[in-house]
Amino acid sequence: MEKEVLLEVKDLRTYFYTEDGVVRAVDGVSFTIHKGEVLGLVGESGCGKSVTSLSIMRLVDAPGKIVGGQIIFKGEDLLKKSEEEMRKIRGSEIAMIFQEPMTALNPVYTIGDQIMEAILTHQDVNEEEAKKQTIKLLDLVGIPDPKKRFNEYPHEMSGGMRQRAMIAMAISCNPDLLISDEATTALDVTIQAQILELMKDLQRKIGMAILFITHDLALVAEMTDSVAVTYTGKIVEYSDVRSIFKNPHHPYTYGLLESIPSLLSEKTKEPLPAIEGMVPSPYRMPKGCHFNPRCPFATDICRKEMPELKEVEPNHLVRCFHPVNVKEEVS
Amino acid sequence: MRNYLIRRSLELIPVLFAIAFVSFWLVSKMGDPFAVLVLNPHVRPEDIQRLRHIWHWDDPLVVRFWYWLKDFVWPRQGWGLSTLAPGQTALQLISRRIPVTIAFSSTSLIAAIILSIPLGVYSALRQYSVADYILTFFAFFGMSMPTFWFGIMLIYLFAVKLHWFPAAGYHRAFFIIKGVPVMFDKAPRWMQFLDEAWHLTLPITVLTVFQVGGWLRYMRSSMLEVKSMDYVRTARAKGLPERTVIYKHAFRNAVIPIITLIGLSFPGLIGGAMITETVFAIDGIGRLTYNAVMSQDVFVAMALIMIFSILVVIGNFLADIFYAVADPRIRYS
Amino acid sequence: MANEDYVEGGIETSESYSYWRKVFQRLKKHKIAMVSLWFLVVLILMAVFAGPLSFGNNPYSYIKSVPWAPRPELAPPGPGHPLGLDNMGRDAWSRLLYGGRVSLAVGFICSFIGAAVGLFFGLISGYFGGITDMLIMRFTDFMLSLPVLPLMVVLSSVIKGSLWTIIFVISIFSWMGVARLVRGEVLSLKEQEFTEAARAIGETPGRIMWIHLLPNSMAPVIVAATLAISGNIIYEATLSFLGLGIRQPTPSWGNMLNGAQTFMLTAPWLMWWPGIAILVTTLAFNFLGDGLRDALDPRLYR
Repeated sequence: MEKEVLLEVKDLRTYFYTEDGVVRAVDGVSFTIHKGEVLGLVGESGCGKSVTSLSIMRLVDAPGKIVGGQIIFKGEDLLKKSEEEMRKIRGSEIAMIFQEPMTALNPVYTIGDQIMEAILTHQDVNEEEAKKQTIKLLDLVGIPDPKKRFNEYPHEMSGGMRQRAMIAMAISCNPDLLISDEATTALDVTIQAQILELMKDLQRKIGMAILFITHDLALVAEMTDSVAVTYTGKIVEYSDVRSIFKNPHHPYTYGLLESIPSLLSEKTKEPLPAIEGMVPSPYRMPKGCHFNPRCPFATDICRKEMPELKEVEPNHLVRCFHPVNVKEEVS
Repeated sequence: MRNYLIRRSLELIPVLFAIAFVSFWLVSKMGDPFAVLVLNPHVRPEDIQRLRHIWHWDDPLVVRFWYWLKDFVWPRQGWGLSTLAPGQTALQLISRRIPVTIAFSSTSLIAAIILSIPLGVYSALRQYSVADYILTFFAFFGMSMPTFWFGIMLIYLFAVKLHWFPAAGYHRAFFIIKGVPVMFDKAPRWMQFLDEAWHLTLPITVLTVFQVGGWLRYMRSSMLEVKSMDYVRTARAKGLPERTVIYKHAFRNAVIPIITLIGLSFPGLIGGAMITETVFAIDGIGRLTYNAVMSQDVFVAMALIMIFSILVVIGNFLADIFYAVADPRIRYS
Repeated sequence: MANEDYVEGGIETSESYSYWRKVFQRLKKHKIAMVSLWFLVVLILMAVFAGPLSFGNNPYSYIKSVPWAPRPELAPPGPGHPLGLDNMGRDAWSRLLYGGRVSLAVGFICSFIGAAVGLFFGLISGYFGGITDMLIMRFTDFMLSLPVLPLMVVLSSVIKGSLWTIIFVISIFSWMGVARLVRGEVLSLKEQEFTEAARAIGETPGRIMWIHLLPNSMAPVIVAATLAISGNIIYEATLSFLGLGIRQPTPSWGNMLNGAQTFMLTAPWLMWWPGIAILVTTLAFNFLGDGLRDALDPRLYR
């Protein structure tokens, strides 16, 4: 590896102990993010993507609990840190943007106040300086008239503007890692594109790494260096972005790619193929490979055993007994 | 903000007008105030007719309402029956009785707010702890306790058995200062105040307990709800200390619905004050209402219902202002 | 809606059935609520079988004399009269039992009427919206800003009379909460597909409200109605205590306390039991309502 490892998640397990039983929201997830790298974490809703990101921040609320694994950030295991040490990392070294800009900002405080708060918590500056920095940040994320916007409340801004403010808040202390949890999902398509552009731009300028969580593979292609596809709390395919798009091996990834509309494809006149069925109920996982009830290639072994994550090509890992598109192997 | 307040006060006018009409109509059904006079052999039937005419009792309801409204704003003198002393207007009587009611009910309102909000927050932050269960139990006790019976019980225990507090009234008739009796009004101010506080301790307790329970529970559930909001998570993700997360971000939002609840509970407060005054024989407007109704004193009862309604409306208005101060979404819309 | 889960073996039961079963399971875990429920069942049985439980006394007859006291009036508890005799020489125990009948009946009926009226206004207001909604909501707010107890006192002195007038007086002021609740519920249900679908296939508003909206907004109404029972019992007791509610000689928990202050020194036991009866009953209804709310709203049950 030519680049320095920033974050290494090893066999992370986060379970939710609900009244109806244990939900294994994250069940043995491992991945690595290098300095300045963008990793996409992709999957349908309910596949444990958000819980993974909250686990990294150690912000999983009861009844959820991190029950196993390691989260090694800059060589230190975050799971071994005290709450006070963790607090100092949150917002300054690892920052996070959430899905809903409508609810993620506190409605009773001004935008400026909420951004300034982060700066005042982590940096040794006075209020005047923090305010100056905040206005600069608002300008940086493309909010027009930042001096006026500083004093506005979240409800006075549009969704896109709010998400920009969230980004300003997240990058206020130059974090090494930014976790973007479906940050553009709730926005209109054009706004979405602008926000993505902004994130890419900032990533280049600041040099931070991004954990980019989305259910939309199309965004991954634009944003990320590598991709981890998750299904029911497990990674099913993990590789660099080109390899995944060119050669998806897991039937689930394949299905996700098939459902992306493409202007260039002549298939557009046909209805988009979708993966049949739904993500199984977290309380009753199917036996064997969790994807088997929806998988067109499922055989008996898939219904009995959970496959391991295996390297089928250099740096391309797949959790499947019958990976598709593998040239040297005929299944 | 100013526009919001102006709009809110304009909206109050039709409400007050409607309340006035309904209360007038209701109370006028209470009975004929002149019926008693018929039994009096010294009053001639013509005089009764004249009185009825002077007080517009022979006019249609709407006309009477108009005169009544006018009398309410520019009061006329009473006519020397029942509760009203000769030459006294209903409003004069009420204005003499109202200070004690306002004093002890607003004291208990403030006490209830000061108790219920911190205790509710505490209960929410320590959900399912022993303290939470104890507070929950007390809250339910307060919510379920019939005010009048609680008052009677306190009188029995603290006044009759233990003699710690007086059983009735809100001040003594006179003090003995250095062996000389001094009328209450002539006593030093601080002695008056202490004596009133001593007399009102039990009533204030009753009225406070009556309010605290529900608010505490509401504050608890509001805090629990807000605690799981996205913006609280954002605040944590920023790396703010837990204290700031709870008391700056969560609390400020959790307290907004409580303001609405407190605004809505003014009618209840007035009802509670009325019961408390009746049980503790405090000569405020609550007891006056009860006496007026029992002695069919129509004019006083009408004025009182109107006063209560105005108090409720003022209470709601104050709550609206606090609400707007607390919630910028209201302030600017 | 059919459940599409891929479950090995076992058939999913219909959604509404499992919903109510789950609610009941959750309620069963709520210990205080279950204790309250059983307590209320016992209490209702006691009120129903007030006659046989009265040890041969009845709440209306004046006892001529008792061997352990010089006068039957205000006689302390003794054989056959476990709670003593009241200030008119009537058996307090049987009055407490029969009074329970009245108090519980008023509580239940007022709460039922309040819920029904509230449902009606809430459904109409939420469903039709526009000016109907505005008028009904203005009226509701207006009712909420009335000084309830003074008005109840005036009202019950204007229409003196029976059990039903008290029920009427209390019910007038007990529907507003439900109306607001149901309106909110309907507003959110209206946005959902099944309402749209029902409208699209041409179902009448009445049918949509009755078949789709009413059952789906029932949960919060049940909670509110349960909690309202305790409030209504207290209103009845308060009015009766003031001498404006249930009139003598019919017993109610409130009017048994009517003269309590005057004989506080001579017969304090007379003021204990009706008050305790009111307190534990309202407490039980409040606990039950709270348990129901937790059981019906799993969001808060964590």
